[in-house]
Amino acid sequence: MIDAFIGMGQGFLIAMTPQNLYYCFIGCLFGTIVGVLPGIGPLAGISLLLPATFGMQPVSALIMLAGIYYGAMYGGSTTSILMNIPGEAASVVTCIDGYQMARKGRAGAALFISAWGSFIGGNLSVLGIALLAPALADFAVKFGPAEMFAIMILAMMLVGYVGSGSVLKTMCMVVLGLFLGTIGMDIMTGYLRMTYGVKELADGIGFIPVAMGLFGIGEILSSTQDTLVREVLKPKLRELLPNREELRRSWGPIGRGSILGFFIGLLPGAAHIIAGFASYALEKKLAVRPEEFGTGRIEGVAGPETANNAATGGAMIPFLSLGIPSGPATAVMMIALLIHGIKPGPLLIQENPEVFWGVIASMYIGNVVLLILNLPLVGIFVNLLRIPFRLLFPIILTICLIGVYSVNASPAELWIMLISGIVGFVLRRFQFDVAPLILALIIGPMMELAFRQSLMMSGGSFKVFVGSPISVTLISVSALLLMGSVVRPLLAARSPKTHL
Amino acid sequence: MSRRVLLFLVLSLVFVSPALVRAEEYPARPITLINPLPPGGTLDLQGRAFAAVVEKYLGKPMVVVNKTGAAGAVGSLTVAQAKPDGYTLGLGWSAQTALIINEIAEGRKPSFTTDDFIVLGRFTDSSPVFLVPFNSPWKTIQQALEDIKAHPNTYSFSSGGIQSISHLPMEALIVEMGLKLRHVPFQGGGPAFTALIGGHVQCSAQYPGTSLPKIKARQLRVLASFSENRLKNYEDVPTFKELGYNVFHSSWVGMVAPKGTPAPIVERLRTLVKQVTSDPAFVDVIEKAGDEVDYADAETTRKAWGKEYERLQKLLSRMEREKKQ
Repeated sequence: MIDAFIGMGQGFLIAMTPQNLYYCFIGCLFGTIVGVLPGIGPLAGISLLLPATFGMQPVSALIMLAGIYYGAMYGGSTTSILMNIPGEAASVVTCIDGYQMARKGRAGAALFISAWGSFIGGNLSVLGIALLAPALADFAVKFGPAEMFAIMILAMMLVGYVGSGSVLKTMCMVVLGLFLGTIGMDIMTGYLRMTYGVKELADGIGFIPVAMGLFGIGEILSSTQDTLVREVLKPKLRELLPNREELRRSWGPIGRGSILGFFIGLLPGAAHIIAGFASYALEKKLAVRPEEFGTGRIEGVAGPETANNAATGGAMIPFLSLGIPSGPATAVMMIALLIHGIKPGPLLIQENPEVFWGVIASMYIGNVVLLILNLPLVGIFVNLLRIPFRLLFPIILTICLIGVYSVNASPAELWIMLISGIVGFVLRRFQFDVAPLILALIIGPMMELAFRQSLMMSGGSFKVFVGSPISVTLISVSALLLMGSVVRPLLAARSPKTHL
Repeated sequence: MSRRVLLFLVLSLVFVSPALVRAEEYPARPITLINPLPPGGTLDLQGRAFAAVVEKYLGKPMVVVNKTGAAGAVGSLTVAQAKPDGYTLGLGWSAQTALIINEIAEGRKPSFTTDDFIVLGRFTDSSPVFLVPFNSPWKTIQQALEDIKAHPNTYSFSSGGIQSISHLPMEALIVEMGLKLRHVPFQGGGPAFTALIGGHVQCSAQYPGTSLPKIKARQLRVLASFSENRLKNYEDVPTFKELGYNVFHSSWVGMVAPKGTPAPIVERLRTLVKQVTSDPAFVDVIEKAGDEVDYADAETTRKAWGKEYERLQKLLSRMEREKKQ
């Protein structure tokens, strides 16, 4: 603990040098931009600026790249709230209630809370790294394939809570998402599944183009059908800020989202995405009137937007203290360090304390920078809604196309996005909620991989799934949730009779 | 001279001359280096370190583009089909060979072969090491091999993916020693390491550079190396060869151009590979990452590639036979 405080002091001295403050600012600014632009996520942003770091000090390089990473989580909510287009994959769930808030004229409040939640979540997770990094690194490696499978089971249970439509419609969407997730090359054997000779499908259906299509393009297509003229809101300053009621209701989700996000961030894979929707599911579960979710509840924005930021902090732990990047974005950051001859790993904190503590301290500063940067932007962004939709939508469409293309430079993904857009439009007409589809598409392949890896390790024995305390606990929680959702309606159906 | 002939001459001059001028002035614009694997791996590190030095020698920058998909097949095909003008080059590496062999083995016509590329030179050639978790009961390689033999189908190893450069060496060991060891593929080297450190699998073959910090931190232990001679930084680690096992694997990284690239440009690029691989800036990055620069000229690389093709073909066909039994 004492070491951590000395370290943090040291870190602030490094992070506060004019040069490092400058790189921190550049990273945060760039991160906000890639976060705001739909399709372009932190990975594209980090890859783009990586060559620029070759000539820098290693600490400065990492400070800047980390700034892009968590900065993108701030920007990601903007288009989700204003236009129902996830600016970043982690902001898919923010669309659900954030966009409804915007339609009710509460866009400013939603953006404000999202920036504020991101700030709290970001700061708490940095505190978490400083105090807990070495202990949690050991915890992270305990998650083998069997434990990952148990997590994914739990995640699948939570997907059910995210959908706002009927149970049957949510199930349809989940199954469709799981099916789409099976397309492409099988990681275990290299066989091509359901590609019908189309080479572009070998990579599978990426969730970024699907999410952009179902939400963004689907929204644009739907808007052409709207007979009512959308009200162009003229926000007054007071309306930009959340009212007392909204602030009060946000505290709980922000607190829970911070903790949940941080721990989910430790897990490999698409942690910041799962963190967001797990928080949404949790808030809906805890809510007194869960049926109001999907109609513009502030909790549905505050929780996920906090959690995805907290997850970026958690994700830095396996990377900094084990040298194992948990996702592609941290993998590129690791390259930036390797190029400077610094090998992230258990010895980093001893061999290069200036890098470890410098980066952590810079994340505090970065979060302050981002809050200062993003709050004034709320006013500007909300004013974007004044642009007539006939002008705004073609611009958004173009940005979506460029954004998706920039990720893998793959024309096939543009087609996937456009087709998803048409599918999204049709689904919307029939009141299907598309969020569960995207989540199933993300979780499905991870769940399948973990399932098969576990069985491969155990030689086909299913005992492997209850082989460790972690997986037993997780599977029990899932089982309880499942039982709860079966038993509660039964009790509810019976209770009126007892009262009679 | 008729008008038509004159027109033809003028037109041909218009169309041909830029090509001539360009060949003389190569490179007139930035060069794209395609990396068929995602960012974060050895290939990416070496490609980016290489590209960072290029401008010094060519006067124009080189930009690395990750064109990923299908274990590298998508990017490799992009290089093979690129306009052969010297402005689109690609990284070549061992697993590319396995991709081609695998396509043939599956009864498909490979969309590209080694003949679609002109080899420009090799940057590095490294052999993996055999790793176990630090608290593993296996203290020596002999002990490990005996235990694995005595308990067939009990233990498992992690790799960064099917037929990746961390899967093939283990298969070479399995086939040679007649072992029954389960393969658990992961998505990339990172998760494969996590599974090993966490003790979810019992062993893995990984490359010296990324392994070293984890060995130093007493998370992993190294029992043997797949190399011809003992490795730098691993001087007290025996090779399989010296212990009398005919097990060897090495994995190269180099640069290729699409077939049909004009000879003068090819020559210029071959010189470039030689220049960059002896540039201190490049050497420094590779060594700091725990690897060693091992330059080989185009001809040597091409020959080594041919040998590797034969070796992997034998290995993969033996693996197929094992699977069917």
